[in-house]
Amino acid sequence: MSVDGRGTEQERERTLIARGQQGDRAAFNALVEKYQSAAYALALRMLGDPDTAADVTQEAFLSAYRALSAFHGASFRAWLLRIVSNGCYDVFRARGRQPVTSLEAMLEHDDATSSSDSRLPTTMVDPSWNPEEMTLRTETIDAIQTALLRLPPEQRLAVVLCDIQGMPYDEVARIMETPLGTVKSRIARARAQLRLLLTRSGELSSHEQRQDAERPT
Amino acid sequence: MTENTDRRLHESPEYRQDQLSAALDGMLAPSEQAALDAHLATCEVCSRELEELRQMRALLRSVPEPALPRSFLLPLEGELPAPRQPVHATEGQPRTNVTPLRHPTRRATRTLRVTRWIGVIAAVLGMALFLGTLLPGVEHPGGAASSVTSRAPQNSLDSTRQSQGAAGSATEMLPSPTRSPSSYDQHANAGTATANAAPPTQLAPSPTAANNSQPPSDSLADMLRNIGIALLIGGVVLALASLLIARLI
Repeated sequence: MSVDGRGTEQERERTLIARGQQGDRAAFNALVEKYQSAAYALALRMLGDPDTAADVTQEAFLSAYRALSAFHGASFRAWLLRIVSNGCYDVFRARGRQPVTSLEAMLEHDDATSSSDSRLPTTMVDPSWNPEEMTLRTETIDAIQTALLRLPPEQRLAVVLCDIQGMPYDEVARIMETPLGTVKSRIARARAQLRLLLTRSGELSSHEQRQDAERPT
Repeated sequence: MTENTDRRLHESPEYRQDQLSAALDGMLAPSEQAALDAHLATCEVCSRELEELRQMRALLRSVPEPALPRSFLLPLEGELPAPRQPVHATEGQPRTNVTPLRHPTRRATRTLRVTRWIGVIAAVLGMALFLGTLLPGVEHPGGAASSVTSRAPQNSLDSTRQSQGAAGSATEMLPSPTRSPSSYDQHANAGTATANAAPPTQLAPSPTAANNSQPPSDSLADMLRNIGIALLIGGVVLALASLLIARLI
């Protein structure tokens, strides 16, 4: 979306919403078309299961359509993604307590010797490594997904929105309906934990030369 | 200030995480950023951590958007699928006050709340009916000869049992030898169906009926009491059940 096209794009969206509010499903479907990728991606990263994610996504669009008359906000995307995230939380509740393996315990075990995690090998930091330019291997994506699922849901939501979907803090705050400060600290916690988890699973070093990636014991 | 930052960065993991994470996104206030930069210039540990965070974020950013398994367009025609029963109705942390999403959930809670109230009202009505029959003026069914003691309120278990027993015996008491078959019919009518009960005039006593007014009011009181008990029990069960379901979903 070009900067110039932004105004007209927003106007188009407002029109679609207004028509959708009057029961124009075709207009609403134009919004579905526009946001379904983001909605499904969020559900998938939150839930880790494609089938459930698809169900939650479909349900979210239905809820959104039904509740469209209640929408007066500025950002339709934020509103929609909030509905999606609520759907994910419903799934968590249905599953009972999300089996969050105690990350603390897991990390403690390995970090028992050092109070901070400063013992990570220097070799893992390779300035020439530029992940933006490479396509991720399936295993890497799986490892990231596994690590995400170990985070508490609020941290997971914050980091998925911010780092995977690339949203600014204020939009994350809007979706989570949480103060900016809370969002910041959730993202910080999530990143800190993900860094350890992904280092552990070898994802943060696996793109280096094999010999560099040898983990010191 | 810098010294303070140095100390906190090393003493508080949360503070360090907050600062490094915010720095990554350029979200630190200029003074904080300056203090952090000064620290990073001399601290290899924190510099390395920041660098690793940067790589971690780059890794996350490079996760591609998944392919859509199907299209989520709504059908243009026809009924939309009914909202799925929401899984939980209570307020979780992240759903503080969203209007849209709570819709289906709210409906379920509302239904349950209404059911609960119906149960409570039924129970209260039943209780009132039950107690009403115990009032003086309405003859106690247990004692055909109106004994004062049996009229006194007893504990609910006893009186329930008693009235259940009475329910059985009251009908047996009806055919009293002093009454004509026709008057018995009338009384029986009055007892079994209040709605289309014999009009009051018919119940209005002939001299003999006045003497023997016990049986009809007994059966009426009995029935009212039974209805009361049924309402009470049913209401309580209903209220408890809806409460339980609200907990479970």
